[in-house]
Amino acid sequence: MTEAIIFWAFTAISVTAALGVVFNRSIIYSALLLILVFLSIAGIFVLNNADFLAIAQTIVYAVGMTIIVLFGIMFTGDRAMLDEPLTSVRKLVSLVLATFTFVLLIKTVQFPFSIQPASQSVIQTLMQSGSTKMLGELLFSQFVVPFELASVLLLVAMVGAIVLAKKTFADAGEMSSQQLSYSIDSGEPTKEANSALHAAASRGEVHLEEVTRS
Amino acid sequence: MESFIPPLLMNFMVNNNVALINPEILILAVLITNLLLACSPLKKDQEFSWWLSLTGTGLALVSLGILFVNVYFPTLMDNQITIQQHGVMNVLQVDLFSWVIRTLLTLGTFFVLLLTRRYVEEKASDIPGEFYVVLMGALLGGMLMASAVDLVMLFVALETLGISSYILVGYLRGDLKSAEAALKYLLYGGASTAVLLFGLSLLYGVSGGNTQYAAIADQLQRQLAPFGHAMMPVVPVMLTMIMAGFAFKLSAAPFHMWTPDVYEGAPTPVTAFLSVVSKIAGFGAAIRLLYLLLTLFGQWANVLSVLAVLSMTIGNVVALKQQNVKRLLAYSTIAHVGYMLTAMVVFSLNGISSLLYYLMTYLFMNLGAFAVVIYFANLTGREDIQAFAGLVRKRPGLALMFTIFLLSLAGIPITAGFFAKFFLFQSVVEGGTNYIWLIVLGLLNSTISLYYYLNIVRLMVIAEPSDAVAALPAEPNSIQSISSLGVVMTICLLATLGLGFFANPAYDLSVQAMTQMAFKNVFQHIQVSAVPFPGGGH
Amino acid sequence: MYLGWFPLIFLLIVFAASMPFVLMALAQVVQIKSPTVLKYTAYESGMTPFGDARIQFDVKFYLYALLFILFDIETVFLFPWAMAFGKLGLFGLVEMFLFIGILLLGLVYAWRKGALRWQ
Repeated sequence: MTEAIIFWAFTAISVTAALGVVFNRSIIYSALLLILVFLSIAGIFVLNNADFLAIAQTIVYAVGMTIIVLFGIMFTGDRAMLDEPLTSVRKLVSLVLATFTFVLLIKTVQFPFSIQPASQSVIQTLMQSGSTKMLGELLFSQFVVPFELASVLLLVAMVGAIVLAKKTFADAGEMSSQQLSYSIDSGEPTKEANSALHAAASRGEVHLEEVTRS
Repeated sequence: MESFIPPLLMNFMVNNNVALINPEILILAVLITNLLLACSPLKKDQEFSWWLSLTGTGLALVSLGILFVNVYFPTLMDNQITIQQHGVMNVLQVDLFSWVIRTLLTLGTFFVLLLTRRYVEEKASDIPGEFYVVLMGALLGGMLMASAVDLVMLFVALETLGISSYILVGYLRGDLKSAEAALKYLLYGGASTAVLLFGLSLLYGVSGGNTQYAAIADQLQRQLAPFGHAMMPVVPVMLTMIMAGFAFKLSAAPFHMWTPDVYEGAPTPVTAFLSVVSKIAGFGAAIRLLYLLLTLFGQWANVLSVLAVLSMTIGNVVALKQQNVKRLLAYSTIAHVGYMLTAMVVFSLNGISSLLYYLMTYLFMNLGAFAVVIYFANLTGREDIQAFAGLVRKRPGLALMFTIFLLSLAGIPITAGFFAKFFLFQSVVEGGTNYIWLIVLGLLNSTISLYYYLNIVRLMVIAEPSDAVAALPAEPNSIQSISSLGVVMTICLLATLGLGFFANPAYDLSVQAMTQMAFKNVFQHIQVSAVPFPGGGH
Repeated sequence: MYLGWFPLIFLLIVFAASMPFVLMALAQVVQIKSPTVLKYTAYESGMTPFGDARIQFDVKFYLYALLFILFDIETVFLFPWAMAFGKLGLFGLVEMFLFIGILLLGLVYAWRKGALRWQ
């Protein structure tokens, strides 16, 4: 009974907050309401014995993803969003698509397949210590290869993020002479370019007279 | 060497067949060494990362060769299909099929590395080393995709290849076209991955909470038996999502929209990588998963036939009016994906085997064509088709090689491309009268494709030299960049002709690979009637 | 149903979320009101605000957000490992060191390339 009350409370919060995300005029408020959606869904996870999922939901989605979303909004500014009116055609298409997806999802989960019941020992462990420990054991036995590959995936993503998002790679005091010529070609030598230029000149790589002449 | 490894670890490695993924471990080592090199204070304008990656990929090829001799060759000699365990940690099935795919991927990356020599150093001068880190990451993901027999493994490998590809496409920082292409690829790719993941999660649920293919097949069959196939609403939704996800990755129409823009904007060696290595990895994973699904839901192959016909037609028709040679090759890729999908529609042993043979030839002819395009762009800085006019006057060797690659792509006899199409259409014919329309459309499309392939040949041979060609110096101007491109072109040329001359051994290898894969992957768990292949047969 | 510490955590969240409202309500109750115009102006060196608080941020913040989320995901993997550590033993330790080692390489790279330095 208590479980049902808590479940419906979390469901009500998450649905209300999700509606708020969609209907709020300010995109910042939408993003903040998204945190509430994620947290209440984490609560539903807890009720379903998925304690690890709840933690992951909180750490990765409620915190990490929301930060990314908020930053994304702050970089663009919300003027563009406010100025563009929603045409009725777009509203209609969205409504049809959303309804279709909703019906599809409802139909999808109503399948008569039988999920294999978990063994008694698994249920016992779940009741006593939650799912995190069992996940750990699975992660380091059956899924050890995907687990290690995930670290490579994160590493490549990190390198890629730095390569694509960083403007210059020469701030570590070793701006190459090629880059120097780029920054000089653009007409206005930047502050970094100037200081790096002098550093390079002191190392004897570039002659300042030549640079000023060109 | 063995004595240095602790016995406990040694036992673990032997019990789990870790030796079978030696090439992958080697590639990982190259990736990490490259990253350490990028971190080190060494001078960055040396080509050291390039040499390291090339050597590492070469060693991986050698390691694959050793594996073939020691592990896979004996199974070929065996007339009976030996049910031998090639599983690694329960998530990888490193059998002959995955060996073929992995070899193609490694070979493709080896060629792409040869194509990138100097390219990255010149275009992204301040950060050349990281390119190879990401490229190795993409190769690693692709190789593991080809052997994955577990949904989790499949997804992580797919993402490793995907995310690496997004980064590679946008690698030319400051080039707006490259950035735009990367953004488009990221958005389309992310959306398609989400759809695929949704489909996979439904598959996980429907199969009673299993992630391994064999267990999924087992459970699905047991659960479906009382209901008759595919009557539940969940099944169409699941299959549509999975197929749409793969169609995006393979750039099959109508999910091909991203392809031309991404191919045009990406650095040309990366375009070659996407159009060859990514596609082969995608087909490797798709064959394994769809094998399982189509065995159970055979009628869904009809959806694939729609994709196949659309891809062929759209690819070929739109290619007719392309002016940029990279966009032309993008549409040509879409068309070839369409041809290859027809083999999956028929879904017989011969069909899938001819698909594998098609992938082999496609690797060489398409990479060869890209090598010529890069070589030409290095010489003249042009990518439009008109610029190739009159090339035969100035560079007869180059024009001849391009002609052969294009003829092979068009499927003209004596080249490997002809045999690839021949085997493919033959398997469709064997599939029965239901598929006659596929053959007719396939042949019609091949005829259309002749026009735009031969148009380039006509320009090169007959037309007056374009200003770009006329301005070419008589002698090659940069020995350095020519030598590595020349190696790629020569090997691809030899292989394009060689796979034509030795079509039968290569095809037999494909048949063997598919037979072993099919039996080990699915059929030891499924009791399908007497004939293991639903459509047609061997 | 396994709840563990979650009810307490939930209570903590509720408590923390209600705190601002409680304090504001408390201030309303106990304060002595005698408003003058001067009291509502900005204090000493403070300035009267102008314009919108929403300005466009510099995109270089994004790199930090990206790096943060990558290490965030790494942290998530640590929980099941720590919980199951007793059963995993040496194998788990080696695998986790591999995992963290590879990611640490990314951190070293970011550091070396000055990605952590404010430009």
